[in-house]
Amino acid sequence: MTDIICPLCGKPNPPELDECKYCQAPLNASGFLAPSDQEGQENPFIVSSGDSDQSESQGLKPESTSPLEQAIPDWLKNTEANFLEGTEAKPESQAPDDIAEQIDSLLSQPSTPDNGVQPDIDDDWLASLLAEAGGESSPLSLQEEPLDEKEVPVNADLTGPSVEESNGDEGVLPPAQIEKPDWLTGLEASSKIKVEGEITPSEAFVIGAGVADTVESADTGSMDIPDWIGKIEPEETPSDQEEPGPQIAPAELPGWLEALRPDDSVSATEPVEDLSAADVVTAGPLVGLRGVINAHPSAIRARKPPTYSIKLRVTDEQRARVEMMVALLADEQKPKPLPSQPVLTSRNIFRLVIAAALILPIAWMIITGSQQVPAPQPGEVPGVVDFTQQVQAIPAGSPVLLAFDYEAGFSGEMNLAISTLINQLTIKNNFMTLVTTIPSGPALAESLISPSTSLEGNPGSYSYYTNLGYIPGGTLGLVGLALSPKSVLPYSLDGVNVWQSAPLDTVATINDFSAIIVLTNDPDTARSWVEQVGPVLKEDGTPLLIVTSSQAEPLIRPYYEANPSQVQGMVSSLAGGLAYGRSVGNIQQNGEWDAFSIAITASVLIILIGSISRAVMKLPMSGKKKES
Amino acid sequence: MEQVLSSISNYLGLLFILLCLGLILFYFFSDGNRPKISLRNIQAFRHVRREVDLAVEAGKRLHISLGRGSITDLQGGAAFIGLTILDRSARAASNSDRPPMTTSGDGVLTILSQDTLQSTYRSLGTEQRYDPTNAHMTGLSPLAYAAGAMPTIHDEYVSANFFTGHLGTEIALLTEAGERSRSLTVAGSDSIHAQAVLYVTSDEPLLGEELYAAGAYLGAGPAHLASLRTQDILRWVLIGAIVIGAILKLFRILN
Amino acid sequence: MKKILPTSNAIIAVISGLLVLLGYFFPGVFGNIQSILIGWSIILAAFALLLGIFNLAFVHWKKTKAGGAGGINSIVLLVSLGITIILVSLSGPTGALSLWIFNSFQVPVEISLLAVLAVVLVYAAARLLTRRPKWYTVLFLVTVLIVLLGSVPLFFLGEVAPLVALRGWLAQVPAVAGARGLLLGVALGTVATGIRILMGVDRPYGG
Repeated sequence: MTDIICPLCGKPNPPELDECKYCQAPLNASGFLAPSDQEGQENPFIVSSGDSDQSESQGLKPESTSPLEQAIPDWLKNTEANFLEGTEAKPESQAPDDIAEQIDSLLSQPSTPDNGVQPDIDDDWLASLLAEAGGESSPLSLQEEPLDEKEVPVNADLTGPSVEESNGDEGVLPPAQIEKPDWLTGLEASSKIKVEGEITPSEAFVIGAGVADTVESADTGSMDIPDWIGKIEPEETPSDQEEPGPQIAPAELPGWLEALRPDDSVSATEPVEDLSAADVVTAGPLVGLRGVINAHPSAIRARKPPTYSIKLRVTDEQRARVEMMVALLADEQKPKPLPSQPVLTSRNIFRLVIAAALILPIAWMIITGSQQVPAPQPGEVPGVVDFTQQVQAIPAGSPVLLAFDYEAGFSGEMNLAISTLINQLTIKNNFMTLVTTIPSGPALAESLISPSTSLEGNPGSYSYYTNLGYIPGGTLGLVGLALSPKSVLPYSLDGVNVWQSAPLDTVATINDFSAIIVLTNDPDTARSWVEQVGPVLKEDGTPLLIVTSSQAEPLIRPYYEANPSQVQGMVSSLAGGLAYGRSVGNIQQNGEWDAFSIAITASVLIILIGSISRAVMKLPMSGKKKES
Repeated sequence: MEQVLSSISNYLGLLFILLCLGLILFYFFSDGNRPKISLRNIQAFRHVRREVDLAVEAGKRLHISLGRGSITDLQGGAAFIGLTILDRSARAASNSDRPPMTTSGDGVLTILSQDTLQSTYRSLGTEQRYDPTNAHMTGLSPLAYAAGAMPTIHDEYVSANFFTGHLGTEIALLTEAGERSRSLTVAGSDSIHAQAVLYVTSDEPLLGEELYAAGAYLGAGPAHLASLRTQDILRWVLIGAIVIGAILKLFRILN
Repeated sequence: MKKILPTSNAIIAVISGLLVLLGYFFPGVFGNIQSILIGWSIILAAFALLLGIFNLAFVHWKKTKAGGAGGINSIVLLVSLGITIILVSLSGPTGALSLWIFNSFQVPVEISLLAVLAVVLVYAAARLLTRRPKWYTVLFLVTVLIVLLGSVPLFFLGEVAPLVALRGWLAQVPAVAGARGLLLGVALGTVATGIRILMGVDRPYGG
């Protein structure tokens, strides 16, 4: 089955199709038969009656039509026919190059894609065609002459899409060596009439030579040429065609149109009026010309075009809005300052009232030195009696370890008991070894010990003590202190090695002290002393005594009340300090107990009144909420 | 019996620790196969999560106070919990206009809190937001620490305060400062006295060992959930040991 | 390096913790290394204290430069810090100047803060019932009142013996029992926290 090569895309299509299935271009008008199908056929343009496919695809008439003739569009045929009727026989002349090229393109292979079918296959049918036409066949050469791109587009409309493909290909060449039949040469000649002035002389020479060859070969052709082709006579030369002949009868124009016709007597190029007296333009683009229409000088004044500012015209209002936007965007990055809270609120007033209710009675009691409230007795406060006894049992002049582990803020509560203790120890001339597990302990200890009065009675003269300072690691160093205090605290704060001189030269472990007295407000610190140092002390029976605050007393008391007790004596809170003072004969107080008593009373009253009043006030409000 | 007890008493602590370790490891590796445990509702932690979100939205700051306990003391455990809460809060509030601020009363805690903040921001890829001055020490003594932390609550636009660590009765000053600045206070301490004070002064107190459940409630990881379950089991073990010991003592089996 | 450092930190922390822990139970074997490690930790804690002070100074220096409401307070702090360092360096930690600063400033300020604490606690107790209107709040307040009334003879009423006895019983039985229970729970939590750190799961040291 023969395939039709699409003239547009060059792809083979089945013969039964009218349009290319790839690009939908019409196949019947200008389709070419696939060259492969033409192999072996001597006369591919002569269709046998039994070959229905060929007849359908090619649409050939069995008696007179040929494939090449089918390639010629009908309008061309008609035009040529009309032309032949109205024209004289023209001598044979060189056909226009463009028409020659059209015909050559008909003879030449249509444009193929890069991977298209090799043109060698087309050579055979063309060769056979030529052989039939002129008895000479020569193989087509694809690249004999490059086609002129200028000429080809002109002929594209005439020859159909088959030529368009050849336009883009530089490889499609007019077969200069092909001998064209006479009919073809005549056809070229007749078609030259329609093309004027579009062929360059050099190309005309080439084409003319080519045409001449074809004309010559046409005479020797034994091809059956139709009659109408034979009537076609060579055209005139291109030079002759440039002059338009009065062959077309002039049309009859209406009167108004006739009036518009320019007067032939006047040359179109000549000026309408006499400009010899006119001024000559001396400036501007029309310099040197005469008769230039006078215009206002400013209209044609040659000047430098004004420069316009490229700055954006911004009004003040717009500028203000821009600045506002910029400020808004900048503020997005900054955290916004929050509104400050009011200073005077009901809460603050209530706080002030409570503070006044507490502070004023206390101050009054202190100022007046009131002693109305009976002071606590030693037996009434647990641990005071044992504490007193243990302290009194310490041998005179023996070293005692004092651990100042309470914060300066608790001085008001604990200093009463501590000062009594220090007084007792100074009376017995005990060597006080001061240690601490908190950073402010050394200063606190020094501030309490240094004003102590010695036996001589001079305040601040007591020097039978040493301040070893802060235990490294705090409570973490208690184990080390218990096992080897010399290694943990080798020097005092003064830089003196106290372990080399009496009385600490006899101290190897913490057991060698006469008593360990821990002064702390923190139950955790007291617990650490009891649990870390206590087991070491238990072996030799060295007493562990604690002076503590009222807040720690509930947690330390079990150690005191345990059996065997781990704490041999304790003094806690202000009551314990007063009781201890009374136990050693120091009954003087400066209104502290009365102040404490009135403070507690005021606190109880404030708590009661405040709780009841707020509860009473809130009850109706909660009732209203429930109702709502 | 007493000889046996005395012989193992030396290693009783080690046995207890090994038991605790075993339970934690068991629950840590087996929690994936078990149904998710339901934790009882602790309102304080719910408020922690809510306040973190509110702080970010309002452009305010979170204040996390780690207390004054040294890690070399018994109080170090509560301080580590504070660091866990700091890590979780910093993660949630990392993109806030005002990043969280932490105060402490110990030098080691200050360094640890700075390290925690830095590693948190690094893990989130926002290390450029880390500011070492957001974690600072305010004082060495308890009251000095409280006095130094109060201006932070007043001046730094704090929306919520989380006090978690070893704090004493001075925490009342901090909660009062939080109330004055109208900021929420969620507080927990290992000190008995502080817990009593917190019940009165704090908005959301963490009493007892609720503080040590912070990691589990704030999603710090499966290890925290495992340790929480371990604590629950060991609590019952201790209860049983106390009851048995009391009965033995009552019947004079134990002297 | 970023991946190696956290792992190495964890390994160092775990091994150090294990050695110190084992030193308590096997002092003969691990006692020496335990002492060394504890000594190192004490030195590091002291250095950390210095760093904390520098950090405090830097924070307030920054506040001073930024200005604002707390700028003046920061200046006072920085000046005080400088003066204290100079005076204590000159006279020693227990010298006359140091004691003067201690007795003149630190002790009165801390005592005042504790007094303020008392006012705060009273105010908070007065508002407790409205803040937490629960039955155990009433129980709490009743206990507070009993302890206060039993601690000291009242100014106008004198000592109420039943209240004193009740206060003694409350302080020693329920309070201590509850405290013991809380302390046991705290101890459990501390042990669990420590084990988490020894396992390397919890890393408060970053990384």
